Amino acid sequence: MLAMLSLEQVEAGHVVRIVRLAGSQSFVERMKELGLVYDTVVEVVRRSPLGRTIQLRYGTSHIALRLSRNHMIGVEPLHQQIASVQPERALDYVV
Amino acid sequence: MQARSIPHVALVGVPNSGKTTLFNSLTGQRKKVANYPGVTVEPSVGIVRQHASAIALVDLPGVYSLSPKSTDEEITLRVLEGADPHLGSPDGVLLILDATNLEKGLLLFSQLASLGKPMLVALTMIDEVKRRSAMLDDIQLEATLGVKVIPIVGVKGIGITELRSELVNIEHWRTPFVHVPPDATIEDRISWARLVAAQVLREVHLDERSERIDRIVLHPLWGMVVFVLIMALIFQSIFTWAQPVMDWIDYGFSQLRAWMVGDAIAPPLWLDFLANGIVAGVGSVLVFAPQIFVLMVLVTILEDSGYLARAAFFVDAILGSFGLQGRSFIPLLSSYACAIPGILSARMIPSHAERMATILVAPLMTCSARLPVYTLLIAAFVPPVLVGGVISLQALVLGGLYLAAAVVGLCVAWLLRKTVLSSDRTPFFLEFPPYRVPHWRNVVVRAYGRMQDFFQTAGTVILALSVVLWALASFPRVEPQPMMSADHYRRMQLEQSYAAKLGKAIAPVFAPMHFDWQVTLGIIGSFAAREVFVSVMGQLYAVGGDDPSNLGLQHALQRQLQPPVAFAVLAFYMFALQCMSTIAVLRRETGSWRWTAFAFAYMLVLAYGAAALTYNITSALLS
Repeated sequence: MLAMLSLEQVEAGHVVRIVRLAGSQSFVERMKELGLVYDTVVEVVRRSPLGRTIQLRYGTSHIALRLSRNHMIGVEPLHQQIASVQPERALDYVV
Repeated sequence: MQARSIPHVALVGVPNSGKTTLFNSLTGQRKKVANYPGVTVEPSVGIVRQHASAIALVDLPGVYSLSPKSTDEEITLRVLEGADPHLGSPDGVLLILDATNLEKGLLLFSQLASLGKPMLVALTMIDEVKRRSAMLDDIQLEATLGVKVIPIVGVKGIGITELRSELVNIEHWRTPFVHVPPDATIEDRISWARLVAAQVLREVHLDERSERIDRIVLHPLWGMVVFVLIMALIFQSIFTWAQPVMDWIDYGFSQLRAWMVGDAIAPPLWLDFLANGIVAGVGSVLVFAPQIFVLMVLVTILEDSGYLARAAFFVDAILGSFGLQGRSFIPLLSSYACAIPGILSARMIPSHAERMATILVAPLMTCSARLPVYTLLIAAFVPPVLVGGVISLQALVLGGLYLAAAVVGLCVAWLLRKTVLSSDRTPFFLEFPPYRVPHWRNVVVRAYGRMQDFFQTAGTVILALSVVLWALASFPRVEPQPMMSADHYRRMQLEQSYAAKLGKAIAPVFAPMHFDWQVTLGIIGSFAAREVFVSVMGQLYAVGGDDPSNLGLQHALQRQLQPPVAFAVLAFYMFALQCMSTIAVLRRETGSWRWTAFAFAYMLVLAYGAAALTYNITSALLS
């Protein structure tokens, strides 16, 4: 089992898999409609230099996303990516 | 309202799927389009003709699904369900599928199919797919969906004729296959959409060109440089390219008035009404046209090229910390030309609270109508010295006024979102369209359409109010004395008019900053458009001209006003919502008199406070 991260914690350039959506019903629905459903693999292409907005790539989609505090997209790093997750969190990924 | 003699077809697609471009080329109607999600805001109906047949096409706001999450998405659902009282139930659905974004479009298709209405699919962006050397099998797609699929390239008109023939041939449309049961989850629909997309679209490559551009445009450093350059270009264009045209229009209208009145000291009432009521009113509406057009052309180019979504990504973080979001950027930017197009474009913000906060602070951005007032007072009261030998103090003051208003606007937005608009914490998301070269016809047609929006909403209000103000300033009539000059007569007429009485009645309110009744009258006149202040001063001080660079007017003001009063007037104009057409648009867009009254009241408090403060500080400094 890999520990779940919030999408916002993922560093730019890393590829992750969506495992959980949490928040209001309309938020969860909208994210799913955008194709961010369970098991979708997304890349955090870059983070806004000034704040919490991130750019995601998945399939043929590119979106900018900024989550508010009461919404969460839970992700797991893909296996081959484990090595490159933030070092201070690496312990969390021990199987 | 359309008579129900011809079939109605609802035009549906996900946001930014090329829907409005297609609508334009099918109906020839001038409607805005953009390479920026969320541009269609209310259903507009156009007629598609081919030979003797015709259908009515209803352009609907883009939706991702049939469970709406914003007001414009609700419009689409209402029309599709036949619940719109004006449009009734549509006879068929024209779905736009963006070939570069098939998955989301197919998800929408799976829900539309459950409506059981005859359907036609227009497949757009096929040129974009070819450019990325992917293979698109539209025949397979047609077989899977069960309805006719017509590939098109909207801007080039490819496939449009075929689409038009199919459109008017509505009795031969098929009803789509229902692949996913109506009660299926979104996950089921997405899986189906992904499966179909994978079957019809092969060898999908990354859009290398967009990736390359993004690496520069979204780079932390170079991105900022690009952003600042583009913003500088926009402001430059508003002030240096549009200004000369505005000056010509202004000059043209004042010449026309002078010619109409001739050398009569006191023109007959009807002529006075035509020249100083109607012609002056039309002039003060038209003078905004060049600036709004230039701004709209540039904004449209930014939208269509795909840059705007990136700029929104860039500024979202900043605007987000003030309780706004990336989409608030265009409304706020447009408000530098005029708050009205700014407030109208706030409709693209899905979150109610963020949209309201954007609308409520948009009038604080320094619109172009304030500029003549600023120019006049700064030229008259700020010494033309250089600061540090480089930059003129006058330019510095002007820049300071712009900057301070923007900062205050953001702080007000933050405050609103912490208090009365605190609910509704929605996430911000915006799709990045691929970069495309804007099509000039699209750009011009759309900028023109937006200018029409301005004339329709603001023009009538400004014109009506100009006439009211003319009447207030022209009655009761005063007979000219012998040997009186025309300027002198106009001054006397104004001084004894109802307008002057009104100014004198209100002036005590402004006692803390020592505004006399003349300045008060200028402020009242500004309700038509703020730059009217300049012409009111011109008349009151009998120097004629309504040109802020008029030296006679500047000298008259220097004699009449204490410098602290002049600075207090500047502070007042920075914040006050003294523009009737903005008030009218606020009422319409917020749908509430309470919010409108709130906006007026809070800006009045700000303006009043700032003016009083400025008066006291500057009198202390200058004494």
